[in-house]
Amino acid sequence: MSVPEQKAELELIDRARQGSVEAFEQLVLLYQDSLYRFLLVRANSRADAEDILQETFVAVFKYLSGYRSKYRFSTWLFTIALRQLGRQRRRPSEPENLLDTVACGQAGPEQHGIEMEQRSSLWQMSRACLNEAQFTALWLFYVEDMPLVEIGNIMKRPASWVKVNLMRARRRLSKELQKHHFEPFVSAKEVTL
Amino acid sequence: MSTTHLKESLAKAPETKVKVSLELHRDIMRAVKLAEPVSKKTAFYRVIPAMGAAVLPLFLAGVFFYLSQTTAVAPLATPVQGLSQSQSPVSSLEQLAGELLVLSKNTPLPEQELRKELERLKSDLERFDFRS
Repeated sequence: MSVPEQKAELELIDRARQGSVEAFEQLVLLYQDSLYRFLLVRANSRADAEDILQETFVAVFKYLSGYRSKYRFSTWLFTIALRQLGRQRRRPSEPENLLDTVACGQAGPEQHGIEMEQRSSLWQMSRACLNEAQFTALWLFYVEDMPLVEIGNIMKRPASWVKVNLMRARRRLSKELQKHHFEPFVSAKEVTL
Repeated sequence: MSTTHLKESLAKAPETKVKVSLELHRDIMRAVKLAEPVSKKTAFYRVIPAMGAAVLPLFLAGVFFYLSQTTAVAPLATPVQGLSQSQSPVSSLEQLAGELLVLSKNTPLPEQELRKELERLKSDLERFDFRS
């Protein structure tokens, strides 16, 4: 995010703090898609992901006065979303294969060929073979393009821990892909992030 | 598959293209409008816990100082029923009489006065003798 964008975001936050729902809606529009994707691959069902998304934005609106601008707004937002997700997981729910739903509903393998099928299965495989922390770090790093420090802030871990877990995640994925006759992701020289 | 290819593959996966529907966005905003923002604590309410935190160590220091100034008295193992034979006033008076006799022999006081004093002491002894 560029400096003018950050400034504009802070202005929106200030206005929302003063009670402007219109300003808050702009913030929602800025982050709703990325947050929804983040929740969709973790929640038990699409309905759960939608509920958590809604609960997250409501919590953000309620506690916006507590937001400190020394952290990025996205960091705070994703931290709240992870907390809401944790709460939701403690409730019993019907599991559903979300990744299949996403692939079929949006841009399925039939439409985009084998490459798309491989990309889709990549996240399915990640979900299946990585632990929660590794999967979250991998998503935030590759999809949200977040720096290690910010991922660390969201996950309440140091950046070095995130780096190590990303490396482990890639090695694990590489092994899994070799088992399935894919090319390995990384060589020994390429593990540096 | 190189690191760059991996990044591209993960970033361009269909899961990363999902968007929030208009209906869901409306639901979110409807819920937001119903929610009330939690008001920020005023300076006064932020100062009160801070004052409490400052006063508590002072209070504890005062209590510690007070306790260090007082002497601890250990309770007796058995309750006192009365004075023992050796501690009774009668015994002390007898002892005193004996001492006075010795004193009278050694001092140049007139014997008459000493005898009077002894008589007085004896009468006191008889008066305070609880054993009789």
